[in-house]
Amino acid sequence: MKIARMGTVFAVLACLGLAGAAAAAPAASADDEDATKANAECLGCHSEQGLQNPPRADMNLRGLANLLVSGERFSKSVHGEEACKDCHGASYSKYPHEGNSRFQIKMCPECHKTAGREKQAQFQTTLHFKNHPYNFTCTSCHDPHTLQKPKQLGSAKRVAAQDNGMCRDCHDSDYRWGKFTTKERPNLLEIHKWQPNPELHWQSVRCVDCHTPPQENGTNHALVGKDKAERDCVTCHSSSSSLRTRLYRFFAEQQQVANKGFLNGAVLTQAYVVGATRNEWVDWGTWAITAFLLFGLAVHGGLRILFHQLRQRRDR
Amino acid sequence: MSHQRFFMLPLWIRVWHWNNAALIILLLMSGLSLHYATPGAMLIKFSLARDMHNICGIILCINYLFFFFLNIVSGNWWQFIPRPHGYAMRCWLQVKYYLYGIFRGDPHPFPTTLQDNFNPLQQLIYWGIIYMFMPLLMITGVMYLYPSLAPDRWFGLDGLVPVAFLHYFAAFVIFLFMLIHIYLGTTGHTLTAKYKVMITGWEEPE
Repeated sequence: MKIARMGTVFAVLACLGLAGAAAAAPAASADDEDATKANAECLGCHSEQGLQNPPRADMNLRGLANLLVSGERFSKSVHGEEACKDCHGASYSKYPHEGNSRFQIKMCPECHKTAGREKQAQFQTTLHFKNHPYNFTCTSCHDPHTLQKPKQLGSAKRVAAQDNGMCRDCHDSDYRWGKFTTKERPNLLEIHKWQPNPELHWQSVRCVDCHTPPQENGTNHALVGKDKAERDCVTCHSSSSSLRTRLYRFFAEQQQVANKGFLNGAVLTQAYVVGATRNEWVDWGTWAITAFLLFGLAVHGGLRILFHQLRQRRDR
Repeated sequence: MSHQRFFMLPLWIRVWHWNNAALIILLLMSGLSLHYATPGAMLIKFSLARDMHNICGIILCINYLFFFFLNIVSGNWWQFIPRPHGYAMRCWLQVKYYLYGIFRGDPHPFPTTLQDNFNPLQQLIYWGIIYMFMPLLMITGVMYLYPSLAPDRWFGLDGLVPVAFLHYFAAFVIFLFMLIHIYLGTTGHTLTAKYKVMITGWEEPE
């Protein structure tokens, strides 16, 4: 029964995505200037400022309070050059907005065709989807109004803060967690106590770096729970660190230090990781000095024995 | 010169010394396992090495504070201070002994006495190890344990990079010292004479 229901949901999602892609080729985006101008009109109401000084007297301010967008954050986001209407549809042009306007909001796969299909298939294997097939959409985690690309954020720590924020919004909040389930929320620190200094790890790597299977390009969306998540320290803490293909791949071009003998130089620009970011020249140097010293001590010791025996023979 | 045995090393120095020896060996084994961590390598498991290194590192700091305090209270600190007049010449005599005299069976240029436990080279090197490299090792180790103490960035790299290098450098110097120290421990009037002093506390001149 449940499988049949899920099948229906898949079909609806797929149809929405494919129909959107095939039938309605996205309306040409307004150029940047037009988009900014058009967005200013929307933000006139849908912002903190709009809520404080509503441009009209007949507005539902309580409803509006839940639909605010930060213009500054939106302009820095991956969609910052898009016009609001590119996704929300033309029916939002009028006020009051038409009652069925929200059904005209585009689904993500309408634009993100290839990646969207791949990630959707991966996501459908997760407990998030299996347990909550109606509640989880892309935007449950990825806020399209604020999400920034890793390169825009510029550092691994900022990417980790953004991406882990998506997970912690629910997994670290009884209020948000309660919107999805009545089960007791596990304490994040408690279930990660096997890991040394979990907060420090969460500042430097993303939850998905351990909670998804490895993938060559992009982030796999087949999230796994604690039983299947990565627990072997050397997966990251070693010369063949998987961090290179995960979070730190976004900074791979900053490899200038790799040429100075550092392993995983791209990681080093962002974080010093024990076991992963050592310098081979220093390592070889220390082994060479150690070998030289041991050789010297062995020769000294050997000569002491030899001369001792010679003295004994002479004394006899 | 008196050839009578005399009591030189009180229990607290011997306890500190052997604790130090055991801790440094454990820290070396766990530190190498963390530094060269590789899947499937014949090293201590990463999570065990991490716990070993953290626990032994903390005990090493406590052991050091114990020594530092008692060294002052007992007046033993004086043993580590090189006597200034003709110090370079005395060092040279000791170096010459190791390079030449020891093979001829010459007597030690600075035999151990109750007043002077160390020869001039020992004074200098022990001082450097105990008052420079051990604190450097421990301070950088504590910064490793609490990375928020390290600078955030360092010349475009993570702020833990200089901490890691200094920790590695200090550990390497102490490791080299340990090798030389163990070897020179065999240069008493018998191969094991100096080891026995470190166990019993009694110096037995030749």
